[in-house]
Amino acid sequence: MSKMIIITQRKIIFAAQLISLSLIWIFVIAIAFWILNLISLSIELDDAPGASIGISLIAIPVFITLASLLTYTFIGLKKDEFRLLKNSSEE
Amino acid sequence: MSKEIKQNFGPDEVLYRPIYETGKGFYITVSILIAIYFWSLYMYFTQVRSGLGVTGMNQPVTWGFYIVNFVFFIGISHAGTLISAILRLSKAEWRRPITRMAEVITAIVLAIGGLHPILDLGRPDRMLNLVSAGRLQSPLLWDVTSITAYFTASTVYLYLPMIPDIAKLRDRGGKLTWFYTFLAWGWQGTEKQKKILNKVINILMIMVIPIAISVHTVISYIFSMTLQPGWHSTIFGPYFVAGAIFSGIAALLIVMIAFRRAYHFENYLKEIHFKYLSTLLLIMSLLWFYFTFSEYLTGIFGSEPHEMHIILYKFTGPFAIFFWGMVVCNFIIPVILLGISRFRTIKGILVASISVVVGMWLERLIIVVPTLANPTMPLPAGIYFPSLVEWALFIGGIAVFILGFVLFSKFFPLISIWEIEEGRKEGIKEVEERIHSYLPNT
Repeated sequence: MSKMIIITQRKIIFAAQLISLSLIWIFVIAIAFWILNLISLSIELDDAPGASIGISLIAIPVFITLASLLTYTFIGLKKDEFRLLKNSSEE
Repeated sequence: MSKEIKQNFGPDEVLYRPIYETGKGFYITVSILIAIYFWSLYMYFTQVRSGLGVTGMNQPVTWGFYIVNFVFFIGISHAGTLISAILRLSKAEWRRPITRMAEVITAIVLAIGGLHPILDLGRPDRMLNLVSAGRLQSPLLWDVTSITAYFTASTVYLYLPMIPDIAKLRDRGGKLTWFYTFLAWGWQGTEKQKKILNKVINILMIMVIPIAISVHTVISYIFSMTLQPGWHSTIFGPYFVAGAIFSGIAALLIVMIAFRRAYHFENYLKEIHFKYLSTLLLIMSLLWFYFTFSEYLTGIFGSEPHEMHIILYKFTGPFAIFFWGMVVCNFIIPVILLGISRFRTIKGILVASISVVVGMWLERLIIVVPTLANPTMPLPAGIYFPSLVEWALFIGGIAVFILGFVLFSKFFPLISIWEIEEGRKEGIKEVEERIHSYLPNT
């Protein structure tokens, strides 16, 4: 397989990986917005907003931490892969 | 990228075999399971078209099989992430061939269990009301939040430790190389990458334990936060968590025994693994009995009329067969089979595990239905017979679980290969160092 095709395939896969990671963040942000919307609704209706805020204080950081861990792993693994690829192409 | 598959990957070749070799049995199993799935899907559309009238639910029994199965499936999900995280955290060396299967159970069963409240809604479009006008003060919404968090966490916890194995499949070549390249995230096995992955897995295993415990505690709250006799109990949280771990271990043992036989994993899943896990199962059986005894003794001692009515309904009424069946399945059978060493063979463990899974399902049934069937208001007692639609969706749920597991085994190794290799290289040294660190004069 020519080098050109391999590079293109690598780029497509990298783009797909970035999209999938973005989707995870979209999911997490959507959940955070949903919870915030429910809090504002409970404040508006004066319907025990304290309980809603209590739940959100636990739930939102959990989702953000999970997405952050995935992002940290992805960046860490990719960085090292790129470093290896660079070294091998220089050789 | 090469389309040829490299052959012979050393001593762990048998772990790759299910991915690259597909026998007749696989196609037959998958076809049967897909047929059951479509049958249950058809039944579900019947329910959507005709409404909940096609189920056995009625007034006053407004929760039936769907909620029973919801609690049951979510309970089974504790097999995976929780057990795997605890074993990893305690550095139990024998965990290595078990963790992956346990984590897969969690991810699949959570997806199935999480959908059950939608089945119970009758009209699935009503889920949208949760988005626009949900009440975060309600334990029902705590469930939605905690199950979503647990599903996300357990999927991440399943996926990240799989990366080194996915990279092995990528390097092996074949038609799906692009798929494995996509999922491997550039894993090359460098020291730096190993360090990053281990760090994240360590954080996740600590994070996942409280999330898993919170899920089943919150599920118990949908019952215990009400003032209904039989439900309003302060020990429901830990009782549900203990029951979930109990049924989870049993489900894990069944899966291990089935796939050990189907894929010839005898060299990996040895008798010692079953002995250790079955000891845990036995301990959980005793713990379950202790909780059940405490729960009912408190109710009987108080002799509150409504509470006593529900207790007698379970002990001697129409639900007596299910109640005593539950005691036999969850306590008597496992204690006999696992407590007497002569019966503690793989066959005995399998029978005990199946018995526990059945018993835990019965427990969910006798928690949900009797309280609803005996309203505290002056209304006649209700009766509940599940309809064919409900049975179909229950069987469909089990079929989807098996299908998910079989399909997973077609794409990914069911036993973590890199963890086995790591155990061979570093496990003995690590254990030796640990022994030196806490034993004097060694």
